[in-house]
Amino acid sequence: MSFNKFSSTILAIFCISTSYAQLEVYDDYVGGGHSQDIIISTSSSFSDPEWIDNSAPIKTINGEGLDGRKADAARFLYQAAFGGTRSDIEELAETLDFEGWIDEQMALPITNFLSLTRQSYLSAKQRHESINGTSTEYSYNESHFQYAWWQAALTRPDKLRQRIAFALSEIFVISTNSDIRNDGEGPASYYSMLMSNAFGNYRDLIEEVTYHPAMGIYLSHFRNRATDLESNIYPDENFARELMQLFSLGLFELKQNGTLREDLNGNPIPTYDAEDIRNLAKVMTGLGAGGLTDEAIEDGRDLNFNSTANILDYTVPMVMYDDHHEEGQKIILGDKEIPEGQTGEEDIDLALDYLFNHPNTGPFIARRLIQQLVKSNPSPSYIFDIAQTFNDNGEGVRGDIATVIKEILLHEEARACLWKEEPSNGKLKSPVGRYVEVARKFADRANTTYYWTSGFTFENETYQLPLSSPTVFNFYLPDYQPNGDIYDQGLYAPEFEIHNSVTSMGFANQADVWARQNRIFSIFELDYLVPLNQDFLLVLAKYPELLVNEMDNLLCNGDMTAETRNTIRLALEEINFGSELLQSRVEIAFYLTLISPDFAIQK
Amino acid sequence: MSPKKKTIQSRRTFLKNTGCAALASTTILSSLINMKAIASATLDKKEEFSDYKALVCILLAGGADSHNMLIPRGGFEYNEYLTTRSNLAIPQSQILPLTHPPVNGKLFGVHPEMPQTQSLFNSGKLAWISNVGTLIEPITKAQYESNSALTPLGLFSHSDQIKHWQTGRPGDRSSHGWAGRMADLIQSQNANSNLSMNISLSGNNFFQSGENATEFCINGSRDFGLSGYGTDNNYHAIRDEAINEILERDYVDIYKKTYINTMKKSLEGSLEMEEALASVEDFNTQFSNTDLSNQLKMIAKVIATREELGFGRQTFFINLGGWDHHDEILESQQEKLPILDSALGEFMSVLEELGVENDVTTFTISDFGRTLTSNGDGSDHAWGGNAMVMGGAVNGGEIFGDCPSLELGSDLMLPRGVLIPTTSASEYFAELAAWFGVSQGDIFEIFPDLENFYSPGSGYPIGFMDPNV
Repeated sequence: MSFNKFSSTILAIFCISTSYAQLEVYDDYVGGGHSQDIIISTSSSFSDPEWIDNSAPIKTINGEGLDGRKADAARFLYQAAFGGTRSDIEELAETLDFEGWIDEQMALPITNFLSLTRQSYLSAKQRHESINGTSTEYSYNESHFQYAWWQAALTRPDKLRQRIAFALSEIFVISTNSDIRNDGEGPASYYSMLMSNAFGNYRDLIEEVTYHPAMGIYLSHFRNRATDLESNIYPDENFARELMQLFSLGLFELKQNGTLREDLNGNPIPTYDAEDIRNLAKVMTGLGAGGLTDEAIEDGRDLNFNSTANILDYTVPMVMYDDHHEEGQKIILGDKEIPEGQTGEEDIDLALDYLFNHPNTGPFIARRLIQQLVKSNPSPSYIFDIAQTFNDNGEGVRGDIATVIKEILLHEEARACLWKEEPSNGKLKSPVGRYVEVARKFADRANTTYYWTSGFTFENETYQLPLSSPTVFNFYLPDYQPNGDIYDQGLYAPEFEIHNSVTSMGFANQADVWARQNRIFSIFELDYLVPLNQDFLLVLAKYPELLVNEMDNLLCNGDMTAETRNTIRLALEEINFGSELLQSRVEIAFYLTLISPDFAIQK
Repeated sequence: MSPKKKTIQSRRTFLKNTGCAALASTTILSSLINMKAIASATLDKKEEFSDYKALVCILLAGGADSHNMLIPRGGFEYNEYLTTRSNLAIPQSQILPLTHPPVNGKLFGVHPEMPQTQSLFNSGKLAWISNVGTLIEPITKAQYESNSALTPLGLFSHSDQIKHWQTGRPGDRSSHGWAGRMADLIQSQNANSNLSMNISLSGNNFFQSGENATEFCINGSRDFGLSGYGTDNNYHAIRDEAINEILERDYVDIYKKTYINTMKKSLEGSLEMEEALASVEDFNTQFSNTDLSNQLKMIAKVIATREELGFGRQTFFINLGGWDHHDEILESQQEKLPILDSALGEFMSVLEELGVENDVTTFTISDFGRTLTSNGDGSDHAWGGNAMVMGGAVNGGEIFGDCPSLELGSDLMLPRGVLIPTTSASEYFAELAAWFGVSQGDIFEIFPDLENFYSPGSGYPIGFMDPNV
């Protein structure tokens, strides 16, 4: 299926803000929805036959026309990029050309996380030394990857690519909570690899994942050896297992629409068994360091299969040491032969081909990506459409991630307003997503060079930070079901796995820090602090309704409920004392919006 | 966080002040709590627990290599172990000996980094369960090879096995754990009807999540609740009222509703728990400064508030990660086991200090046992493993279950040194649940496969708990 086919229809479906509160008398301003007894005759009643939404005087009074476009742009930008800046939203609202936006984004130069991480380290070191003198130690660690990650989120234009790389990092999981050497190189080079493959081909992606030393150490196929019967030593099964379970096939055979295939007794059919794992583990033997750190080379260390993790160069893919690769034929997935006599690389190539071409891989990856970007419970037909695109991008290419992403974001189920009304539609925004969205819109950009955080507090409060998952199973499972309505209806909601009595309070307390301590990023030991940009909010704060409206447009895609608006507006109206009146209103509007479900839930 | 909290009243304070005036000055949120308190105090005629019992579950996440925690030490059995484990074997001279009646003629010791465990065992406060694993029905090697007996779904996969070890139902993919199901059945007998019977120190988990029951999550060393909430000034009074309105509203959207329900319960629960914890005095027991020790210390504090908060039954859950040792297992265990070992010793000591050592039983679970054979310098996912139970009500100083041969050709050994379990995890859990006070009928309900291993009325399934303590 081609996305062109439906993109024109998509553009025509235009979201309209709900109108509300037309029964009370207001005298504050025009444009906030208070339209009764106001007559306007200047706005045209322009009507485009292709558009559901049309301009009308009432909408001019209520400011709905403009807000509706902004809301639609904001909604798309959250799905595609964890949200845009205020000017991103305004720009996109002018055209609402989502496909054009995607094309532009895909053509942008790729942010290089490796060099950004190294730069972050060097500038942080310089800063540290200017404060503490050059005699003190300053070490390179995974915090510098975090600095780079947030710096990129706030300053680099390739937002779609960054968003997809993040989604991939939650599928092809490595974590700095592991044996990965405690410097920035491992996470940074792995993330760079995800960035460069974000719009590439899935087959290349799993190959680069397989050969990446950070993955090799994380799932321990680095220096994995051939069977040694005499000593009872067998190949490590870790990577082989997760490659099938988490990175390609999943546990059970799927139909193309993502639902389970069943055997004659109605039971799910396993995609592989213990024997397949053992054989794939044999395939994954013989990989070792492809390069050594500069220090190791200076020390005269040799590069060979026995080169250990502490001296390997993370930026060079692992290489095959055929002497340590298991010889002989391997059968995987029941009947797929990897013939004897091949080199290790040929074995891996063939095994990856089998996984790539397995019918499960399309629907499996489709569901994961949709859950990341758009919704927790995609309909079978949504999964089917995306799986078909994975199977063939329209030009006979299988595994084209760029087209898959494009179709996920432009699909009727992601775009059409009708779907917003469907009860199972939507998802809980991840804590990291919420943080990025807030930072992009509210970080003070006037006096800031570095948008840095180690994320340490945020991780403690919310249980999430890029590349910091507790296990290879990510922060949350695709099939997680919180108790209550979601479980009762047989639905899934992955992000709720980290929404509990610690993290629900924790995120609110982060919002409290941002609002009341006026800092969105901070590195205390470097004396760096990024405050909120509140100027544009302070201007609005004189009129509570306007302030609430801005919060709604920026953070709730215009979907803040009348009740939430009312609660916030009444609170703001009550703040009518003190010299910091406007400041207090901004803080409270910001905080209440951030804890409200209208912000936290993406529809 | 502000030290002053809004006038959320503990249940006890509330009962002293029941009357309209007491409600008048409170917020909507706290009134709501009080309304519930009224309901539970006056309308509900349920029988409340008259005693206290707690289960503390420590999940060694990742699949701990317990074959190097409980180690055969006698000449014959050590040689079997050494041959099979090859370069993963702990040298015989370093094993810390356990004093116990021989099992199948075999003697055991513990890993050299487990001296506290050794002494807890030797003083009768800790027992081992040997070769326990997830089973649907008893299974032989031949049955396994010919697929003629049921095996757990997703055997050897982390995500399934870690779930089965928390649900006790390896035949289905239920996400409801046995503590969650217990809570569904009995938590209404706790006087406290606001806070969950199940408290997690490690976030959401399967073990404590039931059909209705949801675990209440706290951290080892952290403030509770919302920063600034309850601060006595206009700014916060206005903000708090808005917060309460947002939290109390009914939402139609299922995601919004679920999101807000959690926040509301979290705020209510945090306020109540924080107030109770404020009165807990410092312990004499010294704790190590590790996450695990801090978490167990927090559990001890919560246990100390059991009467004030109105708890007769509680479960606690800790997920101690980092046991998936495909790699560098010897070094990693040397680092991790001391953390576990000292924490167990400290926790037992604080329980004795509080006088609740007979009322609190601590036990370990893990995703699975690991392969006995080596993959070079680690071990892989396997099946049967060894677990620990600690407490005054435990028949300590004994090793329960079978201690099968570790020889590779043995009739319980699958390829790669995977040991078929000889004790079912559901028997292990059923015994803990029985001690906890769950009726036999309910136990068979919770563990549907239990009947394949244990007949009703035949005493405790394994015998590691003392019913008279």
